Amino acid sequence: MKKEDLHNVNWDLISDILTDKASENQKAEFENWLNQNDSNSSFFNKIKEIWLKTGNLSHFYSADTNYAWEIVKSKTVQKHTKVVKLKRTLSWAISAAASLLLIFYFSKNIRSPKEATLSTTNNSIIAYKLPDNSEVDLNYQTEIKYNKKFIRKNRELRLNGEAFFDIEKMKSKPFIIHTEQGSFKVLGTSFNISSYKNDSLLSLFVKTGEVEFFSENIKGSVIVKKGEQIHYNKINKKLSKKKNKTENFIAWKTKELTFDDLTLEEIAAILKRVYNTEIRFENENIQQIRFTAQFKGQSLDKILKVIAITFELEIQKTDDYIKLLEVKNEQTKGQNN
Amino acid sequence: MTEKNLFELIKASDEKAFEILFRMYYEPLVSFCIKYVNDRDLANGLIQEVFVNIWENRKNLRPQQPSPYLYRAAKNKCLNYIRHLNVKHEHHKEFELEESFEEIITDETNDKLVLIYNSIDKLPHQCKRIFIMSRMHGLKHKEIAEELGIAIKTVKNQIGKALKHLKTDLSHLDILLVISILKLFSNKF
Repeated sequence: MKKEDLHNVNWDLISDILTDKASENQKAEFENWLNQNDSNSSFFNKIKEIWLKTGNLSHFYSADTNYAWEIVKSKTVQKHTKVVKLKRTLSWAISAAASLLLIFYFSKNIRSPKEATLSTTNNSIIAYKLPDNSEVDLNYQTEIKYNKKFIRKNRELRLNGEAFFDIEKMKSKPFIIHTEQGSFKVLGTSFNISSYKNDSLLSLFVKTGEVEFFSENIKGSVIVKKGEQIHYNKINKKLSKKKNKTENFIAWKTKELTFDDLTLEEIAAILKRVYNTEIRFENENIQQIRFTAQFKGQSLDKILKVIAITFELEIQKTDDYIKLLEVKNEQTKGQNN
Repeated sequence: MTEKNLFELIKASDEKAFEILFRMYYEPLVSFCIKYVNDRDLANGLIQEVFVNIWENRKNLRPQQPSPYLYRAAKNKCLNYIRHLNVKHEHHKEFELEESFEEIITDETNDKLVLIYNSIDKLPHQCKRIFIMSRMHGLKHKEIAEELGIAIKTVKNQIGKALKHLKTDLSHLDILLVISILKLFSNKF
């Protein structure tokens, strides 16, 4: 480092010289620096050599190579990876969820890979890095598709299902997400979209930055800012927007839940999205019980156990759903603990 | 890591070695394959299959120079594909005679490519990204600054930082020799 300081290196100037962008003035300035002493010129020659040398590795990093590597990686080194790399913010519970069966594949036809597909099943969620370094987490039964020209042209993809996006900022290339019900355009931000084909409701929750929403049935576009959410009903074409109090929206990813005076019926709907398990009730009285609590990284079993103990309920499990019942026998009450 | 021991490392399931082998040979092999099948998308798919097969059968790899092995595997893949299609290819015989690819690159050069790749790989994330955008993708400083939402001055400084790191890291290489061989290498493809 000290040695280079002696050369009094102006990297601005050297970058312009190497990329042929230097003006006449800069060239004169450069010549002047170069001729100051022999060590300057030998220093520059070494830098120039590095520049030339690395240029010969261009094909290592070309868009075609990057794209093909994603495909080959998914069929080779990543094929047996059950646990996907998760972001630091996620708790142990989601790691456990992600370690469930992971289905990860690209376009079935390897011979013409124009489109890449990434999907999850009934019992898998995954975290994935897109070619532009943006990150996406897919909830259960979700699919995204994107074109081979993803980076070279616009960054566009199709989504069916629910996903949380953390978009890498690229000013000249907006990131566009198309769904059945409408499209979203963003620059650099993080947000959650839920748009299942067989669900009449589309919802968007913006965690940071802002997102623009378009739909055939809406004039212009709707800007959704940090902390806001919108719901769009594709049947009656109604759009509603509100400030979101909690981030239950992305709880399927973070496993952080806040229930603020909600009925068990409402809580069951949230838990279904987060844990992909249906919860039923013996009767309407139970459905209407109100509950306030916060959970961080807990399993569904633990959450239901807390609810059951609080309201003296009994948990009954079947293969397809979990049912909450009133405790009939006085003696069995205490045994839940 | 040198080119020669890439196969040994891959045999031991080293994922980085597999990625380097892939990045080093993917495009040259696709260009080579197009001569046989005359279709870029098809060539891409075939070469991807070649690499998937290598990974799947990595336990059987022997320590050897990857280049002749890869070109032979690519050629066989293409010929099998053509035979499979049962299409009479007029230039078929001519292609079979073409074996010159084995002489294209000397061991030493590719060993150095591996070193350069590893050196670039060690750069900090943002610095690496900017350097690759500038040097490998040929973007202008202004374009990079706009893409990343940073100042042009930062772009230039990051490029300088990358060059400084590479210069130190690669100072032991016989640079001029490498350049001349690399020029030969890039002309061939």
